[in-house]
Amino acid sequence: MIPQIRDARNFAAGAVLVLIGGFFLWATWELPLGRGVRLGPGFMPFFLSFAIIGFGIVTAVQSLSAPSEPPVRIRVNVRAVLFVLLSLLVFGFLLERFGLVVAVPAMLAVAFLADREARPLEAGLFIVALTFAAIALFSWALGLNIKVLP
Amino acid sequence: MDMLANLELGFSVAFTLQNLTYCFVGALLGTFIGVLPGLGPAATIAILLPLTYALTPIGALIMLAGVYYGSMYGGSTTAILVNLPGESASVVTALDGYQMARQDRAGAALAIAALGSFFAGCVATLLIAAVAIPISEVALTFQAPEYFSLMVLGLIAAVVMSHGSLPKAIAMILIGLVFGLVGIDNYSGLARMTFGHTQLADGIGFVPVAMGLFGIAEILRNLETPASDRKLIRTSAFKLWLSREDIRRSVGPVLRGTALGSVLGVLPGSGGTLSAFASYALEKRVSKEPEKFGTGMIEGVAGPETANNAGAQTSFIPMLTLGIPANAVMALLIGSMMIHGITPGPLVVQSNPDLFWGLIASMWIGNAMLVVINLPLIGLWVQMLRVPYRLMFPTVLLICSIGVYTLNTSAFDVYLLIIFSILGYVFYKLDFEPAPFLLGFVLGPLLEENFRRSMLIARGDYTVFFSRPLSLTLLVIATALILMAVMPKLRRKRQEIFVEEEN
Repeated sequence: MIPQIRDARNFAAGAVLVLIGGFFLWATWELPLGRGVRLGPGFMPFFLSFAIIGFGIVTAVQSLSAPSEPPVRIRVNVRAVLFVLLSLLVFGFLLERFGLVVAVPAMLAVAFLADREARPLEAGLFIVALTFAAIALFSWALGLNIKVLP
Repeated sequence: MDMLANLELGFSVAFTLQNLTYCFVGALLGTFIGVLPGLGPAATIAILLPLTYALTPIGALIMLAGVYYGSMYGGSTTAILVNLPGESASVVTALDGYQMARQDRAGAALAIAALGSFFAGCVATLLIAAVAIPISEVALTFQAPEYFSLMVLGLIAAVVMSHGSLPKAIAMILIGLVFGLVGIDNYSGLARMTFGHTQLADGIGFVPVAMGLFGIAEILRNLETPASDRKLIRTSAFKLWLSREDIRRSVGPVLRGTALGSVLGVLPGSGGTLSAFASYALEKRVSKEPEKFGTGMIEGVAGPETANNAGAQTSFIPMLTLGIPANAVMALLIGSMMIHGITPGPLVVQSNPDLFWGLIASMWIGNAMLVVINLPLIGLWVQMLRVPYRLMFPTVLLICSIGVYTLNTSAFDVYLLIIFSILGYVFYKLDFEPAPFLLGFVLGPLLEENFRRSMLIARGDYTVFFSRPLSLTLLVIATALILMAVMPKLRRKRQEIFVEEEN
């Protein structure tokens, strides 16, 4: 009998732990572990990774036998997550090439897309105002070393 | 006594125009952001971290500490006026505070919250001053094995006291530790997990991690629920006045709250929240009219508000004297200290006495400022609540991105921010607590260094942690805590406390 995954969230949690542990294990595989007196750089990451993987397996296994409540589902507001992260990406990408003047409005425009309830006109005005305020504050008032114009 | 001399030193440092300004700005910004729903103290501090980069170490700490208790004050304000607690410690305040506001007694609620908090702040300052030197002196006898065991105890204690699944919390610490080890290894000069990026040579930046996990992730969390309509109290008829009766009824709760908060705040994992809840429970039990709690009893505001401020301030003690963060906010402050080149720990009292005592003195000053300056500004803060979240979050995103970029004038940090925002969101979705991660991340390098140094001293003998009495004691306490948390009876107790919190 295949055990049913009653607690999807915890199963995913366990899986993520195993992934993270595995990732670090792979990333530090070649580092020397060292001996007792002279512990190498790979020592701690190695054991920590195993511990993480261990916890991951335990969590995932626990989720298989969770008491029968309504299954816990994971709901994600994909739109919000996607556009918020995209806005940061846009900012990072455009800032050094085109300066604040381009990066800020672009980033804010993408960010507004994350909100289903956004109103275009209000958003547009706000973007213009905030761009100006940002340039005034960060570049002029605070004198930070940040590119403004392309 | 020595204590007075130290406080004098502290006040002389804190009373400079510069540091007073930082304190003021911190408290102001903290209150402002604390009033805004959706941004707790940890997120606020994370977002404002870049601002403190250019300041002196003491200036930065003063400002961030100001942000911390400012945001707690702001959180109470919204709890009372709008029934929207700004952060978890204010949840209890909303129970009776909002009812008082609906009965036109908002002024009294706000006033007692501010005054009670101020009283707690005074007492807590004296407490910290009295206790700091003895604790540091004991800690100075520590060597590498003791430090290691102390950090282990601190980490374990922090998760045992916090809510959520214990194995998951421990896993988070471990993940945080591993992330903290990224960078060039001091002992061998080899690069670990940097994948060729020279920007990671010094390790992953603390600010992108903090901002991503607490700031951006919180935004993503808030965007999940559509904006709820908030019913604002009419602020025109505001009388910040406490009747004789109010004062009489508040004396007991304030005193009890201070005592309770001072004790509970020192325990890792809590700070203000646990103290506030405990105080509410205590007041209800001690009161002659327990059934009236929830209808606007001033005791239900005076006690918790005092306790949470006492707890928040005394939670600085383990951080300042031992270098052990009790909660996420303390971890952020430790991170900030490290950025400024100060290694937190018992030596700080000796090597940077002006920093140590200056910070303590400024905490008192900050409390005073909050009472004097913020009470009249309440009307202004409430207006802030009218700004809709759909305009708020792009602004916060912008502040975060620019802030993170200006750290090293590098877009790489923005990309790191994205990675940790994703991580923070994944953690939230899978029911992992981010605070233990941050604790592990901050302590990771120190933990490893102490471990290696212990092994070096002991010539490879693993039992060194158990053969030294102090180290053994610490580890035994840590084990005992885990056992206690795992035993069914106490497991239920833990969940009781924190199920209340969820509600």
